[in-house]
Amino acid sequence: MGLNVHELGFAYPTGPPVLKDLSLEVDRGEFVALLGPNGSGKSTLLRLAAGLLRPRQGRVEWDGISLDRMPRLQRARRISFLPQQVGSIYEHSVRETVELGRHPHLGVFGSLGEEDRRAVEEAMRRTEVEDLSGRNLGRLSGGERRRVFLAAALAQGGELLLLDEPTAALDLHHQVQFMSTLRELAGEGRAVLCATHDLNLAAAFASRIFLLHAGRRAAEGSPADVLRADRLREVYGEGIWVGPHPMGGTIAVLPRPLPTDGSGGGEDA
Amino acid sequence: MRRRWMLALLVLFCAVVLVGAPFVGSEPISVKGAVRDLLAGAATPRARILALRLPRIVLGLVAGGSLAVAGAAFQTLLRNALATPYTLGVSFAGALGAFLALSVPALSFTAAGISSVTLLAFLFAALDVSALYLMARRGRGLRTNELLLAGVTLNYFAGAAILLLRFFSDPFRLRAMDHWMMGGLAVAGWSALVPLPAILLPALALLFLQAPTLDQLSFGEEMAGSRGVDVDLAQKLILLGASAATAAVVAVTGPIGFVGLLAPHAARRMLGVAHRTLLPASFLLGGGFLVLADALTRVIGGWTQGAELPVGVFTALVGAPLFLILLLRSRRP
Repeated sequence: MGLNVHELGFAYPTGPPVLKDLSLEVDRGEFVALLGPNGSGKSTLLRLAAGLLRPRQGRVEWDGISLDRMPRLQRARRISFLPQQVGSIYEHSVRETVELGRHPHLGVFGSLGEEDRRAVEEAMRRTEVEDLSGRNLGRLSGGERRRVFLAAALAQGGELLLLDEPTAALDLHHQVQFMSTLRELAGEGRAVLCATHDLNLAAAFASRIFLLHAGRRAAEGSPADVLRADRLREVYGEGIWVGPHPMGGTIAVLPRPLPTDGSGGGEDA
Repeated sequence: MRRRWMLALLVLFCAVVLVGAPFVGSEPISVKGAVRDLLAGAATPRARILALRLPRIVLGLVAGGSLAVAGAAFQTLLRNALATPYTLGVSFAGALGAFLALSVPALSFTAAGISSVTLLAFLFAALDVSALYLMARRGRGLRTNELLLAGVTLNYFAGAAILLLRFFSDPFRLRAMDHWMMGGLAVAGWSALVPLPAILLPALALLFLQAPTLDQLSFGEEMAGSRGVDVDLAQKLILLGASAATAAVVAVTGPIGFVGLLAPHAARRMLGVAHRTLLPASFLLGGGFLVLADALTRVIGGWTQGAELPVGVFTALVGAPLFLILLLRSRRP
């Protein structure tokens, strides 16, 4: 049950294969971090999992039903997707933005009912954006805006949350805050799949890590299993130091300092 | 509740303009007298003037309103706040068709009560959009960026073809072409309006039904798609509706500028960005503005004792500075 990606293959028209023979599962209650270098296929995998693209080979299922066979609105009520670039060309208010997340639940005229309003309130409370309610989306900070779109994703339903580098533009404090929220949401029984470049954040918050390299699975498992120096060097190249987190419990990945004094970068764990 | 007041204000504005406009012009006529004569069927001069102005006012409302709705839809579809109903070349393509009808004697005819100028203008505008659609279509989905660029290119192409036609036309016909190109509501009677409802009603209904989808598209195709919008289909329908409405209006009035850009922007400022209110508000604002502008051109025509000012030139002359003021004011914190 949950998200089941089975022997997935995909290529954009006229392009080389992006994903090859890829299998991945994300259960309810799991927070899976999707790691991999630029161009490794993270965003494409998320788009396929969101049903925005159709697989060339293999299949993508949610709760055992292939996305191909799921009506659009039914799919949207279960699966929420937060693309890398979020924003409106117009001056939407925060509340309007969250309300628009209800789209797959509304009728032809798009008016909100009692249940829709409740879902919007709950989503805004959950992501702590109630105080921003009347503010203009365009005037928010990057961190606030991400939270607003997370609220919209929750209002939409979001049994499965797919996020594409949601913390890319955030400062450390907001990164940590955002990731803790995702972890809590997973703890409440949602399935979360989050692409990120930040190995340390993934190590600290994800329950499982899926490492993607050139469209294939390079490694999968607990942070300690996946974030090993040898594995990461294969994927990200030399210049990486991996060691125990100074505060214990998890792993830290750092860029290796330039060898200026001849002492090198130190030992890997 | 500010929105409700604004909407009420807008309806009031439209009502005042619509009721007042018939009695404003180069020849001011008494309200009571003209209505009484017209209803009694008396062919007095004031009744005749009123009868001439009424179709013109209805056309103004419908044309201005439709252009404004199309403008709002194009701005969201192309994700470009500066898009207008003419961005994709509908106006110049329509002009090319109209100019062919005006300059080639064999193409000057009337079919089913519709002049060949209107018919060819609509045909060419439709051809323009069909060509663009085929170019921008790639597998599934529409490339709105390519649509925009191809539209601008077709605009230049049609513009060059127009210049070529003008070059070979005799001066007598040039006058008629210039007049068409300036855009105006000076129709002779109701007959010119007859073909409009068949196209405008379904086109506008289509766009109004797409309002929730347009809201989603404001956030980008991926977001809209992940929320269950059939982006491919929605973009096609919006392109079809907005283009058909624009082409129909242009075919009857010629290219009347700025209403389609100004009205949606002003409506967004007054009532917010939700298309459910934005589209009707744009219609009222665009329609009311055009009827008002047309009434003013009639008054100015009376002062100057000359030929009537084409309303298309007037809307651009008044609209451009107005738009700049709006733009500059919006930059203040």
